[in-house]
Amino acid sequence: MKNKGRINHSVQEGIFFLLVGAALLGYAVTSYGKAFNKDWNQSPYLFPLMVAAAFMFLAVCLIREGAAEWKKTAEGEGKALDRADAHEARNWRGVGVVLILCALYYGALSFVKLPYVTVGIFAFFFTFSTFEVATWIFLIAMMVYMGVRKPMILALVPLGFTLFLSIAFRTMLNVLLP
Amino acid sequence: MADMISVVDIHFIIMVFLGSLAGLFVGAIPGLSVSMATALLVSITYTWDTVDALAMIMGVYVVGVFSGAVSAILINIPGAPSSVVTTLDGYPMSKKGQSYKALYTATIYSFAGSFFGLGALWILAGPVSKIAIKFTAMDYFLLALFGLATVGSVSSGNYTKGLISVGAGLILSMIGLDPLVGTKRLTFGIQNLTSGINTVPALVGLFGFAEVLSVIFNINQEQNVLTMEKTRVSLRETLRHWKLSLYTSTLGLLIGALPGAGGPVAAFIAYNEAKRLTKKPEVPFGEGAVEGIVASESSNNACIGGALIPMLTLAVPGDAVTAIILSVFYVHGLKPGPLFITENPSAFHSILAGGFVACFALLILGLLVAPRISRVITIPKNILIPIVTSLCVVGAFACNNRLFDVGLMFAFGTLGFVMRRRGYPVAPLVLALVLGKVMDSNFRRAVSLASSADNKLAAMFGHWITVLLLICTVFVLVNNIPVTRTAIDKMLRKKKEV
Repeated sequence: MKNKGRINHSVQEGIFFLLVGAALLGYAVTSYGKAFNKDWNQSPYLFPLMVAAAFMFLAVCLIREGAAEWKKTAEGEGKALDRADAHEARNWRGVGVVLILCALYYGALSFVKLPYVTVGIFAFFFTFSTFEVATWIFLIAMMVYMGVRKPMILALVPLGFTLFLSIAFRTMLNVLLP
Repeated sequence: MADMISVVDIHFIIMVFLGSLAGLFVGAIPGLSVSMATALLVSITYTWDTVDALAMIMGVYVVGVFSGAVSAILINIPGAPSSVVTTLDGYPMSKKGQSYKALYTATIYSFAGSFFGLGALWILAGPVSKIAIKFTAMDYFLLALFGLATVGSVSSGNYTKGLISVGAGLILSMIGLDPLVGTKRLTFGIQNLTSGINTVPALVGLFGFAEVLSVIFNINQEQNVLTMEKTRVSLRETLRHWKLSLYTSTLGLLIGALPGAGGPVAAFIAYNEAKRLTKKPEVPFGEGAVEGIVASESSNNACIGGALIPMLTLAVPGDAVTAIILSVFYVHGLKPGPLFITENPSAFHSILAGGFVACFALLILGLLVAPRISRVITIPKNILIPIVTSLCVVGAFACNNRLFDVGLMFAFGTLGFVMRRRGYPVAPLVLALVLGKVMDSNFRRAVSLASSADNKLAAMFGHWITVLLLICTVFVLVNNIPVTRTAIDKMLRKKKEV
């Protein structure tokens, strides 16, 4: 009976999309109202209006489909769903941690400003700065989180790959790095 | 032919081979995809010569589509979605100690399929362009709409969800300056959004970073690699399935030309056709039938040529990779469409030459290198995933040198991951993002032109191509949206009862 209480995902998503469509419709109409050009044929808000209307129609279709599915859902599926949900929650946590690490990496690239240091070995020069340091730390953090425990791998792979990125992109391909 | 040969020199061949080698590994390693590699290449090849960029991308595309079969056969995990069907018979063959035979067959028929598709592109691109010259602004709008309508029907189990992905892509495509008047739309005061959503970070996020998150979500899946024993395989014995290959390649070509359908759909349909046509297979399908591999690999590789036909002649991409290649064209200042072949013959011949050279690279790499890469394709994911994430950052940044694009890439990656989890296909969103501005400008141009005519409807829909496209689009939409289909079914049932 537990499952009966849950709102079907399609219904939830349908409601969300309906709100998005309504917001777009409102945006198109109010922006058109404020615009100098009142000819719909030339208006930049004609296409958003059409897309919003179609989007809302699709959202209603999704809600109807979800409601039909909801009615059909068997009563005995409650336990199986709970087990699957517990498994999913663990995996979502992993995704969340990786997203936090990525946000920190992005923050470091955006706000930390290290000076550019050029290293020369015989006739070969390469430059490193914030990107190299941030990438090296990020790679180590990601690998540790994902269960790499061998010190050799943790020492060599992040450093080797960061150097590869820097030399291949910045030095050889002349691609700018963050 | 002479034009195509004039493009090919040793530098060109090396670029294609480098791309092919990259495609072999990217396609074979589960977790890395051809779309992801092509998206990353867009930003790397940004400053390159157009011919070099196209040579490398064609190498990645052709060999990447094939190499999904390597991991499908050896570890039962398809390296690319189009190789899902290859696992059905490829892995059972490997379990019987016939992995070399399975890889050999996959290589030969991937080569045949790719060659057939590119040959068709060579022959058909000109005539299709001549028809496309007659297209009006409304035709372009309807063609794009038809493409987006079909993409929803073939890329997802739920058509409504496919169309919602299309809608989301269209909404995102409206962000920035509008294509006709230059009015700011949906930027919400964010200065970086004025130029719109750049397709490169969006693609790198949707295909690259979303894949990273998906792998992390499913990290517990185990892989078993079967050992490879080199056995003697007769070429004559392998080639006796040529009729089936020709038929399934034709299917692949046609399905590839439909926007959004691509390799996975072609491979499934071809496999079912092979089952229907092969009355007495030596081994039953699903237990190691060579015919299954022939059908799957011929059709998914023939899709390459098929997908490129509408992309080059109508600027409507056939699949995710061609949508990315379309952005390569825009980045290099090229404009695909009906006049593309006459105005940019060198770019067209580079694509064809790159494709054909990549076919031979496929043959060489497939026969010599693929059997030896079983160790490489099992790189632990806990090492691979961090590396791919940092590559995504570099790819997203390199196109415009803006950190904002890196943030956009992370946002699109998260969106792509959530969409996959909730059963919303990503390919329709990508196609809509690429086609949105074209649809917007052509629709408004058509409406503006018609507004001065006496009979507005006739001015908009009076052309035979317009009527045909309108009928096709309405048919696909009405026939596939569950709510409208149920309503029509009810109406027909009532009529019958009366």
